[in-house]
Amino acid sequence: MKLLRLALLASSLLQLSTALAQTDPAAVQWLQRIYSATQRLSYTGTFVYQHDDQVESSRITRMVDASGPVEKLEIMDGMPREIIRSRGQVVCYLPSIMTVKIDKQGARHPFPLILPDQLKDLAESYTVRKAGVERVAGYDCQVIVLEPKDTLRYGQTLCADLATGMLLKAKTFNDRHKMLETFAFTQLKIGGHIDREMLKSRFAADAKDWHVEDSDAVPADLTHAGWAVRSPPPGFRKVTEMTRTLNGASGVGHIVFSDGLAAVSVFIEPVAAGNAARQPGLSRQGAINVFARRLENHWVTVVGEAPAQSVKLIANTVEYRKP
Amino acid sequence: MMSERISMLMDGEADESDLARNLVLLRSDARLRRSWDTYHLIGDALRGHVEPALAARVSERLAAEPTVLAPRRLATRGRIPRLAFSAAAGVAGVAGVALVAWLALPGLKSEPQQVAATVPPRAPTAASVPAVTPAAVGVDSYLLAHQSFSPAGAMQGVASYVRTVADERGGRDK
Repeated sequence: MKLLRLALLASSLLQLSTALAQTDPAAVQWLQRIYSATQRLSYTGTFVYQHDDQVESSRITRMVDASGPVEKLEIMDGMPREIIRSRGQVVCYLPSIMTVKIDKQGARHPFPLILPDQLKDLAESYTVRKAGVERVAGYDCQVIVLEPKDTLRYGQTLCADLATGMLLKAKTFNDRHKMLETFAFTQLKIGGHIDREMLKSRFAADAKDWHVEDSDAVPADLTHAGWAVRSPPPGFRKVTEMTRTLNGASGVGHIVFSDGLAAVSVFIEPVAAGNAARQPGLSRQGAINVFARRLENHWVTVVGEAPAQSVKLIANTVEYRKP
Repeated sequence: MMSERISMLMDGEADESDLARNLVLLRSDARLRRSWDTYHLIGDALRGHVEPALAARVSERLAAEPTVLAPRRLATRGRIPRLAFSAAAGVAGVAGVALVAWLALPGLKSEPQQVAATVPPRAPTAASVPAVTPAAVGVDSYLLAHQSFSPAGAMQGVASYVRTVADERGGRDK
């Protein structure tokens, strides 16, 4: 018996070392540089978000000072929308529906997650390697390719500024190497003086009269309440679970899985008057797949930047046992 | 019952005492060993880990035995182990049973769950589905709740939040 278990252990260790061997440590260091740059740098710029047949440009401003980082995203095309992130809180200003959505991240988790663990997870599911040097928005950048080892996740091509590590371009592709979505800066100024006024929402005054949707996320033990995902797909680990208010419904269960690069969220809420008419099934936006099913008079909605297959797999292994 | 144990064993969910007992059973029972092999093959095939010809042969076998794992699904009501579901999905796939369902949330593109050989008449798209979902109920709220947990999104800073406000684009998919 012990021999068999030892053999199993040895073979899995062998697989792990082969898996890690394919990944270039220098490429993983680049990922660390990108995460560090994400937290450290101040910048202003314009980027495009392209998915399906949509292209949308946005202005982004980030400033770090003694009181911490403040970030602002303004969508330039279509309906005006603004998002401001500061002190662990994301506020979305949506003037077209006169609504402010607030998602407090505060105590839930620091970002990035514990980076060495996360990168170790990532290297088990993806092969990370450096490719050539390209030029994006006037900056020379290092191309890093994250190739998935199976069809349960998407791949990414990143391009990060040689000098600062700032991520200038990110493309997500599927198993047939079809591009699903692209984020790319078209203009960027790293550092320099940024006026704090630039980081305030121009809707801040009007929004005082708007409808406010606050996520009220609090850590929760959903397993204790009877909900569990028995067997998430290989490589995906449970990161956290909580309850929150969503679309006006309070106490919505939220479980998050991640493979170190992609995340998949499972939302669980009772079927109620407001959502009874929803249809189950699959939908998609760029690299995001959404799958909804009904279970035990609840809606299970799974959302993630992962292939339909993975999102469905997770949705279908959600189960309820009376506690 | 036993197949469920195998499933737990494969998923690494069996505890220490179960593990030892199950391995003994597995060694002594040829039928169980066949199940073990089959389950692994099904898992590998569905994850695309086997060469196409083998996957096709597995599909044929599955098509020939459509009820192979169905009884277990009924027996374990409320608990649908991954393998049982995967196998059922595989059967549905090779049998040409296209499960087409649509999520009537605004803003997102709906698409068939499975592209099967026998494509049924096109179901209505999200745009033509009657507005059964109140405007305030949108997928954007789910995306917003999800976004902060994406490690890939974290690399992009606040830029990745552009995904979470797509709904308010004003009928972009109409």
